[in-house]
Order: sequence, then structure tokens, then C-alpha cells
Amino acid sequence: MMRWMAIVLFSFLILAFESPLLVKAKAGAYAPDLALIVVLYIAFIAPYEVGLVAVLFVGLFKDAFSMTAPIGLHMEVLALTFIVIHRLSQRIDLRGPVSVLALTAAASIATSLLELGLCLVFDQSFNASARTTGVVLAAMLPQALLTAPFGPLIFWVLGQMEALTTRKSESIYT
Amino acid sequence: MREYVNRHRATIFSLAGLVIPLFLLYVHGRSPRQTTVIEAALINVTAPVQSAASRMFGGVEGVWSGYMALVDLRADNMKLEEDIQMLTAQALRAKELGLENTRLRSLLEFKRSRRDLRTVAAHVIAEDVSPFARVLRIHLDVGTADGLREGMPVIASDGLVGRVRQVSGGVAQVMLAVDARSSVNVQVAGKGVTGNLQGTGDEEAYSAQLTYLHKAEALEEGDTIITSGHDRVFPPGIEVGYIRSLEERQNGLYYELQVVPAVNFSNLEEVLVVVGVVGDGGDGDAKASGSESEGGDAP
Repeated sequence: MMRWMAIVLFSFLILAFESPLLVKAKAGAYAPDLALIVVLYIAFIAPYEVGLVAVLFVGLFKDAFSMTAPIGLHMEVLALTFIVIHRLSQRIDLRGPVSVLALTAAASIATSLLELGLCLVFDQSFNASARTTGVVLAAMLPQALLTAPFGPLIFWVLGQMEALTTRKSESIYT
Repeated sequence: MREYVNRHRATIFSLAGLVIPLFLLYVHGRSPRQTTVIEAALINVTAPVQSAASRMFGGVEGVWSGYMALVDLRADNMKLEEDIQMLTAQALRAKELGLENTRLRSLLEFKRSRRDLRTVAAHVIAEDVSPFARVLRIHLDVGTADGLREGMPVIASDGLVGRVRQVSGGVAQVMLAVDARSSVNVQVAGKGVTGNLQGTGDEEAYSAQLTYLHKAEALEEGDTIITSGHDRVFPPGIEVGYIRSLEERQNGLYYELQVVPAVNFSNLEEVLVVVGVVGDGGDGDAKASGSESEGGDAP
């Protein structure tokens, strides 16, 4: 239980620090989706039920810190992502940082599409014009490319953290 | 029932995990402009954390920018110190050049005013100084190669300096007019008084003594003493000094007066050596005296 709480707390902290850090670095427009990477990690190592609960908390934190998104949007997106990736985790071989990078990029594009769909359905404040949708779609690839390099890094940090909490040093890579 | 739940546990979890967020989205969608209780609670949790994180990064940024400013300040300070040293050196050099220019101009003016004299310009390269900081002799950067011979007069723009005492290939030593062995035939300018100026050799001050036989006219303090040219060593009309005081002393038939030299020997930098007189017979060289003490005619 301790390890899952540690991961949730870690996601809370990186989400809390990400925004002020990017603002201070004058890079507020280039925010990698770190919560998604944490969810991918959880999907690979956690039992289904515990992982899903942890992911719901991560999504809740992301909704809380993103301010502008309606509460529940990221929870739903990340929960769906977790369910899909957890099902696929038996078939996906993470052979190294490059495969994590590719997985993160693909998941980023998928979650962006999900977010867009949910916004169109549930968010009345979302301007559903063709232009806005086009802008969101055009931003998907840069967002994926920006998030992907952080995948191996966050996986490594979480691996180190797990080694501390569980006193085991098993690698997530096959 | 329990068995059913256990069997479909994953499906139930999945449904709950997807429905709860959808419910929250639905609640938000019903009143998007109102802050729900859940949103308010989340803001209460996240706002202080983000505020603290922002303050922490602000502090780190402040420390970093302060450090960087200090690093820049140190580099700037070093550069400014270098600039100050360079500019100070340049200012001193400019001042020196200005003074040299002034001296050379006055020397040039003097040379133009005495076109009858053939001169060689020379720099003072060394000085023999007494324990009282009085210059006893000076050394010039010209010698026999430049046409110098012993006994040739040395003058500055202010007046008579002395005469060449020793000369070699590229260096000449000058005996000053205030040297105890120096003797110059002089006259008081504008007055019919002729006499002999003898250096006192005083180690504390530059002074000379005018010895004369009789006064054709009354002398005054500050009267200018110039070379008479009678000794055929020093060309006539060169300023030598001024009468310091009228407290004359009688020595046999002669009267003696204290004279202050026209030239400040401590500040000499450039001088002219008179190597000849234009229109003079022979090679035009100035007459050189063979003896150090024989400066001119005895009064």
C-alpha cells in the first residue's frame, strides 16, 4: 500500500511543482503531460484495482492543478488510458528507454484525442468551432513530442522510488 | 452475490472508475459557471501547495539571479579596474606629452629667435644629484658623433645651462653654470655693468655670484644678467639669471652680488648645445674652452 501512496504523492508533487517551475522558466506554454507518464508506469506495475484507484487520484490532482479543465475530465481520460494500457501491458515489451519514449508519445496523442472528445461532449465552455478543434489537433503532435522525452526519466525516478519503498530493485524493462 | 462480485470485480472497478469521473463531468456541465463543493475543496488543497512552490522557486530564482549578478559584478569590476589603469596611464602619458610639447615649443621659439646659433638638440638622460636633491651635473644623449666638443655652451629656452665638460661617442656630461668651477662673462641687461658670474657650488640651492668692478648705472633687484660674449665661449645675449638682492659685498676693488639662475636645473628635460655660430669664421664651431675653470675673462 505504501508504494502506491508514494507514487500518488509523487504525482501530486510533480503536478504542484510543474506549473510554477514552467512559469519561472518562462516556458508555461510547453508543459509535458507528466501525469500521463505516471499513469503508464502504474499500468505496467500495479494490480488492476489498486492501480485504477491510484490513477483516479492522479487524474483528480491533474484536474485540480489544471484549473481550467472541468473536474473529472482528466480522471476519465487517465482512467481509460490506464485500463487500455493495463490490458496491453502483457503484450507490450518495454525493452528500454526508447520503447518507453514511443509508448509515451502514442499515449499522449491518444489522450489528447480523448480529451478533445470529452470536451466536445461535456464542456459547455469549450468553443467547439472547427478552428478551435483544428488548433487542438495541431497541438497534439508537439505535445506528444514534448512529453515523450520525459517518459524514460519519470520511469527511472519512479523505479528508484520503488526500490526505496519496496527494497527491491526490479527493472520495469523486460 | 459475493462470488458474483469477486468474479466480476475487475469489471465493477472499471465501471466505477469510468462512471465516477463522468458523473463529476456531468455535475460540472450542469452549472459550469458555479464552483462546486468538490472544486472548492480541491482548490483549498492545491492553492497553498502551488503558492508555496511558486515562492520556493521565486526564492531560488532570487538567489540564482543575485549570484549571477555578483559574478557579473566581479567581472565588470575587474574590467573597470583594468580600464582605470589603462586610462590613468594614458592620461599620464598625455600629460607628459603635453609638457614635453610645451618645452619643445619654447625651445623651438628660442631657436627661431637665435638663428645666429647652430645648435644640436639633446635630451637629458641622467643627473648627478647632491644629498640635498640639487642637480650637480647632467648627462646628454649626444656626443662627438653629433659634433659636440668639450667646452661648448649648453642652453635651454629659459637661459644658460652650462657647458660641455666631458664628451664621448654618444654621451656628454654638462657642468652647470652654478658649479663652483664655472665662470661666465656676463653683463647686466640694459645697464653698462659687465662682470664675471661664478658658481657658488652651494649644495642646498642653485646660486651664483656676480663680481664686477664698477657700476656705470644703479642696479636693481631682479635685473637680468645675460652673457656678454666677451669670453668668446658663450654667445652674447643669453639669459643667465637675475640679481637676487642688492646687498653687495666689497672684495678689494670688486663688488659681489648674489644671482639666482634663470634656469631651474631640476626640471631640465631638453636642451640645445651650441655647436657653432652662423657667419663665424672657420667651420663655424663655437669656441670650446680647454679648461673647466676658464669660463671667460676674469673681471
